[in-house]
Amino acid sequence: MSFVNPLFLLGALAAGIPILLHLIKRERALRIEFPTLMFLRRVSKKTIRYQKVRHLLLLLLRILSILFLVSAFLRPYRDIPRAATASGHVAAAHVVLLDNSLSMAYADRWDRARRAAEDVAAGMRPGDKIALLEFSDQTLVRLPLSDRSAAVVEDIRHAVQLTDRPTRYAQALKVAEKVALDAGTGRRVIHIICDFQKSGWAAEEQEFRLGSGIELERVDVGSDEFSNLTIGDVRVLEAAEGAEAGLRLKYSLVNFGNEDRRSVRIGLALDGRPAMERRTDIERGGVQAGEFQLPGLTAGAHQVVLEVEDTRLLRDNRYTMMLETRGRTQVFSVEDAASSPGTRSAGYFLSRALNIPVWSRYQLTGVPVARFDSSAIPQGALVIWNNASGGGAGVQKKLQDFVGAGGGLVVVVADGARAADFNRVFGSWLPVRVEPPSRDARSADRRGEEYALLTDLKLDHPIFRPFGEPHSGSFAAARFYRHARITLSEGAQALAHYDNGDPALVLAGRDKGKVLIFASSADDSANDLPLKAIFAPFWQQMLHYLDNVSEESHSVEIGSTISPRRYLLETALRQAKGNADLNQAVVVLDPSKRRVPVAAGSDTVMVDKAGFYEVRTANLNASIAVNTVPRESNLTHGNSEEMAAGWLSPGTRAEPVAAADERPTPEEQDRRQRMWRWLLLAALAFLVGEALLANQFILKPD
Amino acid sequence: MPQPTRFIDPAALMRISSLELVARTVVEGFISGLHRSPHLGFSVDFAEYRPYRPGDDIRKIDWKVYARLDRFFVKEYEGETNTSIHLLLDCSRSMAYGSGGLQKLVYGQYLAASLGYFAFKQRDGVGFVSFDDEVREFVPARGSVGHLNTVLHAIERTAAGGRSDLAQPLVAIAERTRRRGIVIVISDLYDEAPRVMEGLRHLAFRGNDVIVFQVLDPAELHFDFEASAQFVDLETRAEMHVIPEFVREEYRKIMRDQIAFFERECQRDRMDYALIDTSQPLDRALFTYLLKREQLY
Repeated sequence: MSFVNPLFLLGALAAGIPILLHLIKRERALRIEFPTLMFLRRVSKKTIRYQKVRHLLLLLLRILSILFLVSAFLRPYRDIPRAATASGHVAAAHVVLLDNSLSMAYADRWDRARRAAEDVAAGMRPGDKIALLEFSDQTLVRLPLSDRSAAVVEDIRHAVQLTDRPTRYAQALKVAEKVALDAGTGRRVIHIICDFQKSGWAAEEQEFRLGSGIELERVDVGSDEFSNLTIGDVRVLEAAEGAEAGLRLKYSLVNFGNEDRRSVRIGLALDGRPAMERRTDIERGGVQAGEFQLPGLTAGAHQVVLEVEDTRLLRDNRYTMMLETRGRTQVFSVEDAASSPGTRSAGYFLSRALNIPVWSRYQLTGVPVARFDSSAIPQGALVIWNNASGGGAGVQKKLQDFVGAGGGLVVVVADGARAADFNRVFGSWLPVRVEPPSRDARSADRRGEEYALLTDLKLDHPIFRPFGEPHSGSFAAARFYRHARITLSEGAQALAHYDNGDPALVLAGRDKGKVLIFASSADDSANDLPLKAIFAPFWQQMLHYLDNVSEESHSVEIGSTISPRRYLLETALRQAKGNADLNQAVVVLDPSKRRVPVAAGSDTVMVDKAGFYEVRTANLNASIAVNTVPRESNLTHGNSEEMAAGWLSPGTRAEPVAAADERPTPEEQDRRQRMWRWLLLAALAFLVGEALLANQFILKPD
Repeated sequence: MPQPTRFIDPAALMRISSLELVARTVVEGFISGLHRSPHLGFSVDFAEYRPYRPGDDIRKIDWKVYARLDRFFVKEYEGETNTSIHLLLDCSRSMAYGSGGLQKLVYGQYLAASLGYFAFKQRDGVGFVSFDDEVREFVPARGSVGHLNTVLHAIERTAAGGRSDLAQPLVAIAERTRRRGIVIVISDLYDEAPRVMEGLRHLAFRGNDVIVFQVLDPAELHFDFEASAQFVDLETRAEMHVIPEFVREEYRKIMRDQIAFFERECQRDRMDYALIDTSQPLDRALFTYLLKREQLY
């Protein structure tokens, strides 16, 4: 025990003041001659003794209050540089770091790891403390530092469970280091019990080092001999052109390890029912591609499970995915009739871009403007008003109703020559106008080599988002020789501009529907965009946006954060349930059909089990496929000695507990000195007690 | 207008140097204040002659009448019903205590002198005994004029002496007073109460009428000390540290019990008991005596 302000020790002399006063007062007591003391002697000795005790108590309270007050000002703190016991044993803080990632489920690793953890708890000596941490890519302090080794054993046996999560060492070691440092002084030992899986040591964590003075004990339950099969890299492809309608499911079977495997069974289950299977041989360390040809599926969402037979590590045998099938969306291109036979129609390039057999969701049909009847358009179809001329009030009304009912419309205005037609048909109900051509307008003649470029794209908009990534297509190569000059009103938004500042693509809404206005032609008459590779994706994206298609993923990995409401919203859009009420309670069930708690005020859930999660409301239901992280299936064993050496600070092993490390942290220092508050409180309590007792003497004598 | 000498403050009496004068001042003031009192029923005037009857004291025969009438006549006076008054004054060291300047012993001397003077006025024989743990002075009871002076001088000479031990001297006094009469004990009775009563009973057994005046100082009765102090026993010089506020109530209770004990025991043994507070005038003691005197005859 040391003191922050040792000079205040002099204040302890003040404790003598009450004693001195008592003695002085006693010495100066009056002497009174009295006829006889025989009656005074008869006064109850108990009373006198009680009064004496009270007097002594008063004296004691005064002395104690002064002593405690002085002690509080001394600011004592615990000074135990090495918590050495009488036997010479240095008390240690043991932090057990138990790996419960997916790879620990291989063979008997988990049982061995738990036994090793129990051994650490059993080996505790008097004065030692122990903490239990479990880790994968998350670290959980299951039991903080205490001397309750029995509780640690109990937790190891019954509470700690394996997970499907991947391994991350650095973050676990950081947490363990923090727990160890909380122990204050003495030895700090981290017992890492894991399979030293190589894939758990990410490149970005290479710089991590444990603080000096922390010892690392390792228990390696991994092995260089292993074999684990898993399925990865699953892709869904449409059947090739000319083939029977259906989907192809391509996958890769990976054999991590050093053992050839023969006649491995791979099965495919569709909506919970086994659909097909095949057997294959795979060499050690090999990857073998495979494919299942799926029969024609009914429209809707389907649960697909690919499973490889491997008994050594079951948790990564299944690959799950959601597969949603639906028919092609009808797209009607309303355009002027071809001026002469043999010339290309305005929708020629559009049909080439959209009517491709694989990957396209759309089926484009040209409709002459004279025959256009919006009431004949089926629900869910899209319309492209492809620089069409004419169109009276009847057409305007039909288009307005179509969009108002939720339809998607693309209006192509090649140049100002169509301004009058556009403004007549759309000007009254869309917040845009097309300016008529002016004299200083750029030449419509391509020979003049005057053109505009498409710039200033809103890359955060769903239409352009895929093009924001590097090497994802560029609009810069496209030249726009003619374009319409569009004036926007309130309610319209320009998603792209030409380099002269004119809007190139405008979004306008009307009730439930959406309208895109493209200020150039959809063929090569006004620009050379159709000749560029980006033409087809650009139009696909525009139609995706109007058709409420999102870039769905078939599955997510463990550890991902999902938004159940977003999944439901997408499901509602795909199922054309525009009136879905997403304000009602959402229930999330994990693969074992247990309800996943959703934090109040949060709209996200972290998935940590492989399988199908279900998201439900009263009238909507969506499934989310969750798979293990592929790298966790790679059980390649690292060199535990090398890894541990990399984690330790230089010199730590040679001198496990360096003197410099005894310097406590500010928090630790504050905690050690916290005693002064209690001393001050005690002093105040004594003073209050003294006041009460003294008042009792004065006001209520016996 | 109240009588000037009645209810004289005992402290005022201290200014009178002559004990006789003190006694006269008290008694005459007392009598003049009581001349209409129904208690005043005795006289020293001639009452009658009556023929001698066998058994009469031949000393009471009026020889002059016999000379003239050749008959034996006995002359009777109302005042001839005199008795002996024995004044027993405790002069132990504890009687020297007086919180207001007037010691209990001095107060007892005034009381004894007044009673003696008063008794002498009634032609009673007056004797005086001072004692502490033994008899210090013994003046037998006589009714002559000169004897009063002897008694008063003896009273005046009394000084506080040794320790209290009431039983032994009271027994001794009882042995020495052969003639029955009134025994007036003036003391603080600071001894073991049963022993005190034992001594008093000896007096009463001898046929005396015993009147006990317990003289106490107000400080002894109320114990109104404030500060804690070292209390010193006057007789033994023993010391004791006392915080008055702690012991006051219990002391008072003990004192009340002591007084109640004497009252009860004296009443049972047909003795008169009166507690005399030295801060009070002497009248009460005189009343007590008068009452007793009247009951006797």
